[in-house]
Amino acid sequence: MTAGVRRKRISPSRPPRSDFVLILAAGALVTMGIVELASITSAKVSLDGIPTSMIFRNHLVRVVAGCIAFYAGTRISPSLWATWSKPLLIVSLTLLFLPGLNRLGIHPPFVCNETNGAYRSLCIGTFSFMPGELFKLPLILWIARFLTSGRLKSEGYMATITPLIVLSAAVTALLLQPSFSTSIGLSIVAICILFLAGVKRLPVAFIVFMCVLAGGFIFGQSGYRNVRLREHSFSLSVDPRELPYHPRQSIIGLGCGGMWGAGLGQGRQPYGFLPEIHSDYPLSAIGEEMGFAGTSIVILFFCLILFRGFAIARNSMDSFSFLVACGLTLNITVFGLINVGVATAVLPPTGQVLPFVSYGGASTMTNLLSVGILDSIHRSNQ
Amino acid sequence: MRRNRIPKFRLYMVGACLLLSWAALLIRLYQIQILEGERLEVFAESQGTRRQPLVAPRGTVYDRHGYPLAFSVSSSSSFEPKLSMIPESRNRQFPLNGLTGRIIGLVDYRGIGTEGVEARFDEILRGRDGRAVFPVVGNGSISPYEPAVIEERPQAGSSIVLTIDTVYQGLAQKEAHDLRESSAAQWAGILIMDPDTGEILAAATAPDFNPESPPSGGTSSHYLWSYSFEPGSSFKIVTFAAALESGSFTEDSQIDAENGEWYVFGRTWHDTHPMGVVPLSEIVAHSSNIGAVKLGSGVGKDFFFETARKLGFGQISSTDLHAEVSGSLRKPRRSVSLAAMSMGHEVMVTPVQLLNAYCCIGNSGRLIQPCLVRSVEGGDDFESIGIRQSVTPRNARILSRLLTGVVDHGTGKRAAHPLIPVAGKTGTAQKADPGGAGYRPGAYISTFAGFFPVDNPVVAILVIVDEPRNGTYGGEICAPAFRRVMDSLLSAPGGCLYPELASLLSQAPAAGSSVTDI
Repeated sequence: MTAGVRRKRISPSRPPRSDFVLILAAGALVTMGIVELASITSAKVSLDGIPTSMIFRNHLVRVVAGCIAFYAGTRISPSLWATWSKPLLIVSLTLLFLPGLNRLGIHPPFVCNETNGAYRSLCIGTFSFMPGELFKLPLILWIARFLTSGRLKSEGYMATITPLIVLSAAVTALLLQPSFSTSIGLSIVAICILFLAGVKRLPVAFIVFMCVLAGGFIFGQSGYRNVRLREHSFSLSVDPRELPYHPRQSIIGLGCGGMWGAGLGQGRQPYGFLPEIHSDYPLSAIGEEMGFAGTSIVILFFCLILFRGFAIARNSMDSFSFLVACGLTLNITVFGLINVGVATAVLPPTGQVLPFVSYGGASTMTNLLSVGILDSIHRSNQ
Repeated sequence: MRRNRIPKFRLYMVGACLLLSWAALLIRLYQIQILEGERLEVFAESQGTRRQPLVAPRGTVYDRHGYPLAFSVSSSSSFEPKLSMIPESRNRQFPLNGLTGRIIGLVDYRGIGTEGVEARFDEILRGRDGRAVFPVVGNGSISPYEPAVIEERPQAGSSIVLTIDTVYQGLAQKEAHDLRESSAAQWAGILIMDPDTGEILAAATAPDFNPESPPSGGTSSHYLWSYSFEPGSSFKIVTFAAALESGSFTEDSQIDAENGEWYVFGRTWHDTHPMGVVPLSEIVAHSSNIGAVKLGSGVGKDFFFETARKLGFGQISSTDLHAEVSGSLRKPRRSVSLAAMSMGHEVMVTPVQLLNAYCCIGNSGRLIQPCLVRSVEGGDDFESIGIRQSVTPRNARILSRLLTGVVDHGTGKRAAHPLIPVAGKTGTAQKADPGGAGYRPGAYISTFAGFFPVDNPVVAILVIVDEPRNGTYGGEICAPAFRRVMDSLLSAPGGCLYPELASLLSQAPAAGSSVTDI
């Protein structure tokens, strides 16, 4: 091993140890999510037409499935992911295109009905999931694999063209759904991976520039995005003219919490004031019932995950592990930042879930699997 | 990038950017939750709660037998804090529909009485609404999951008991309807009072008024006290009373009725029943206009006016009646005015004023305030309010007897009862043209007011018909109706006066064959 990688030398006789800080932080977030969901569902008879008891039970089932995914992640060697990354990418990219095809007049099977003017989910029987969530992991694994296959060395930054084509394809698929925030988040993650892979600054700047241009173009096109962005401000006003309904209700919920919160089950925002509170605004619910204490603990845990994830990346034995660890950590952090930014009215409203905390099957499972992979990398580092 | 060489600088840079982002969001959360928390909480309070009145149940209006004439239906019966729903309904139920509609009146959507008893006794009936803070859910409706906080409990309104006797009201209403139908009149009304107490036992009009479905454009006011008219001959009771009280005339005074035509004060006066020199009793019995003019002129303007005032004309007669009008009584300035007033012109009276004057005569000259309310829940029974001794008892008795002559052989013969002596007076007055001066040809108001038995009257009844088409005179139309109402009262079981009225019949001198009439 080269001097560039700092390694903790542990006696070879001892089995490698898991990263307990990382696991505990993720576990704590999942627990807070479960507790908050229990509180929310106790307040309302139904959330968006689904009985709350069913919502809570669904979430528990998904958390259990996520734990299994986490365990699987810890058992699978990082090198195996490298081998599988390409077929996984092809399958998930195909799935990603299915919902958006409705926009083009093609009606593929398994696509759920339109909700809020978008096709974002696939339905197989009673089971439904968002392919956008499933796509994140294969994309990270594949980019990491592609950039470490030696092409970067031989082709220079021309090697970034293939990942960018794949990213563009994914962004196209996401914009067809449309799911603008996911495409932005994924682009940020992918470009950060390219940056961390050592691609020279010029193409990175070029890519950022192109993304901004494309983003501007898309804003000009889409009515609802346009309105959301034009309406958006950093104001904390309760005036509906200054802040749209959802972020307004989100900050009202947060504001009601104060330092210590109203107490579990005491929040008023779940009573129909903040729709999609269980999936899009769990931070607001936590803030209302557990106060600033609760929300700062959530952020603390996300910072711990960021810190541990990057520490694992820094300690990794090979470039693939490094990029995978960076990518997975970035994935969790960037989407966490987006959700918290929306909940605090810093960003315009989007439908992004808060990793680990929100109600949402695919997100919970892939994020717990990510933690498993990170832990697996961590143990292989030792 | 050399194999296995980690770009630490880039890693730290990205990590620092992300950490800074988290720090910025933490500061943002601090701003929202700690710095702006109170302001947002105030807004959450205002959007999450609604202060609403708790409707006090409105008091019930009963008739004198305890039959509910108007009561409120509330959708819930208690105001416990656990209760989340407010009684939305201010629904007022009127079990008898139109029967007592004009007496009871209306309650508006806010629960405030606007007509009739509901308006007059609104403060007693309404009680006081309470207030509660209700949690609301996102769509603005009251939360079914959380309890309300009661700030002030509602105080239920008190119930009141009217003097109205539903039995008599029903009989009177039926007769009023029949009368209106048979005479094709604008409207007909029957007022029944107890002369001893001034209690209004029945006040029926046709057309009636159903408060549950008020006719659009129709008036809900009660004609029997909100409508004033020129009474005509039935007002001559004032003239006769003034004549007796002045001392210038006695029962036996002989008056020249000028054979039905007399020119004085610049116009010619007519009688429908021409007479020569006759005693006062005949003037009364045949309702001689010339006689009345002579009597009125004999007592003088001031005395006539005073007597009319004393008998309750030209002023509000009762505090219980909503939208009662006072009519119009002006001191006559010219002799021709006095003459006209002596026969019931140039004066406006309400039916209730008119009947109350007859009650006063029947009640030994003591004027009593007509009343509509017997008691208020939780209070004592109201006592009848005597206003004044308007006519000396002796003169009142004389006048009662004179009025008996009207029924006995005069204009009101058709009101006569074979067993019970009735005192009464007919009236037929032309209606003034609303467009201007003068009278409208063919438009009459016919009345008959009377009481029985003469010596100690139990019941006083007024029958009034506005613009009858079939027949004109009070004696033709109203007197028979009076008799029919009288018959009904005498034999209607369940009415408040039934024992007294039944004993009247049993005590009456046996008149042989007439017994079969009963």
